[in-house]
Amino acid sequence: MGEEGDEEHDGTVGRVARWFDARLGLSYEFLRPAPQYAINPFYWLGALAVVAFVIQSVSGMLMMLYYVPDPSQAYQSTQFIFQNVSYGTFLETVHLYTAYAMILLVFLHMMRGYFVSVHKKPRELMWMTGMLMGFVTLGLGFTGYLLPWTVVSKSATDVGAGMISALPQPLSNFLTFLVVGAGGDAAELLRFFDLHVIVLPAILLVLLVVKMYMLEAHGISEPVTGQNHSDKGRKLIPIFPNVTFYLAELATLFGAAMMLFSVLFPLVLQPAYTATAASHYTSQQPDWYFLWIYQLLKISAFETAGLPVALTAVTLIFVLLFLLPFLDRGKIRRIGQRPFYVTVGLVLVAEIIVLTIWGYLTPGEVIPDEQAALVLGGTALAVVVISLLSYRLVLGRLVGRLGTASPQGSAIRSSGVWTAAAFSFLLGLGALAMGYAVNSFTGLVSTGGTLGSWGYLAGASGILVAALIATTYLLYRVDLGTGAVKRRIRAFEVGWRE
Amino acid sequence: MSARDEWRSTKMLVLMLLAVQAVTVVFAWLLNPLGPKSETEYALLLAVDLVAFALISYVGRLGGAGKDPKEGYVLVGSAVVLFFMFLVLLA
Repeated sequence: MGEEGDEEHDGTVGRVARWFDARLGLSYEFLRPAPQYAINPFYWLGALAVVAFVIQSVSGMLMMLYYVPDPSQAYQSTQFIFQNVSYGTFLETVHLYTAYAMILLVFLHMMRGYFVSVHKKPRELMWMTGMLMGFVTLGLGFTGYLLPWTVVSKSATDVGAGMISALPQPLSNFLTFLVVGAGGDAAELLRFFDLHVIVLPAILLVLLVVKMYMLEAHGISEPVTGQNHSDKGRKLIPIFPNVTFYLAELATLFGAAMMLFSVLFPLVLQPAYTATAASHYTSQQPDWYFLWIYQLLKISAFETAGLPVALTAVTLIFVLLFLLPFLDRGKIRRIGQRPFYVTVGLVLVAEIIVLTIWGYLTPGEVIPDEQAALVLGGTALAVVVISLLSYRLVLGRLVGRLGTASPQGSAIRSSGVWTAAAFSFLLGLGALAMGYAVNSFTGLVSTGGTLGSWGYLAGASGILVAALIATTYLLYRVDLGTGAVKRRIRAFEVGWRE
Repeated sequence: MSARDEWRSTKMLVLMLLAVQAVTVVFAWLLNPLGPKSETEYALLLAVDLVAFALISYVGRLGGAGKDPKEGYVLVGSAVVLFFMFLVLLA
């Protein structure tokens, strides 16, 4: 009766709206309200990556009106966009910078998810879908980089294609066919163009829909504060207008930042690719997001025989990250109670940053094994020791706050200069030993076993083990002194003096 | 400041930001798209527009929820809008 009455009083607009609503289901609630804690930019890094993707789609479609995917015209058509199309340079610059921002946001989104354990039950498949989206994003970056057909972009792509050809068979053949096509520059450029504008965006959109469906099913993951955020206890806010407006704020500020970057650092078109120009170009290197892999492959041990080993190791990192929900299966999500996975994540981030900066500073240079082993081994050891110490201090502080008899944190802080000096010495010794051990191992892999390399490996491994035992012993002493360890371990009592 | 005064100043701010947006759109429309400096000016005008929109959205979101917007955020946002407009003049 009421509905009939409403229909009678509706104007034309109301009747049209009602007609569409009855067929499209517009008034059905399909987006669940968000919890109050989601009003935080860290919860929307993925959404900002989608915003970047939308900006790229719009700018890319506009550029597609002029771009010709043929080696003889690709550069000229790009140059035409820069010089003759209204706001062409602006379009190109924004397209590139939003691509960079998208890759960075996807990486930050992934690492945040890793550290706060969003991959745990029931969001395992969401994590895996997100990882696939990350791979597609990297693929978009890789394929898009070639399209201007400059000497820099072609050389970088050749480096990437070379990496693919060094992968184990049949993966190498499959990826080479997928990426390079039937062979030759024309086929390669056309294949990259197709992948960049049709195949990869389509895959990304499908994955996005799947992920959004799962997000709608499971909701936004709870913060890892240890408080109870059950549906009853938490405050929910509607998607419209609250969350929508908040997202609009983030998206527009992100857009403004992109505008500012495009003003400060406008894109300059590099020289065109020709065989002669390429022969004079000696500092071939991929774009910054692949630099860490490239720098790893520039280590002399991985240059020839060791290349498949290095590529397999890099592939393994991606596979392990993809399968993370099935590796890290514990129920605990709090960072403070997951020292192993958090430390592994920190080492990964630190190594990627170090390799990227290092790769930027040493274009085209082969990295000696010793140097690589020292830098990478030292970085890993430093992060592990710092993480370990941080865990103990934070844990100690928590123990103190909980009111137990063990004020561990303050005791460690005041445990004297000798503890810090001993830890520093062990850090240096361990870094050195790890460097030499990795160096000897890579020597063994690349040149085969010689007496010297076996001797180096044994000696360095021995010193490393000694440093680790000494660190464990030192931590045991500190714990015993602060009361965290109640029972003495007989094996550690050698030469003990009260 | 009474609630009515706060509401009045918020309304004034939103109106000013809307006026700024209107002006930037008109200026962006009038630019010569192939001019040597127009790309910079266009990007900055767009940035002004976007930051102004973010501010309006922020004020509107909190106002709708019955909360007061943080003065610091509004001041920083307004300063950024003015700074970008200043950069347009310099470009």
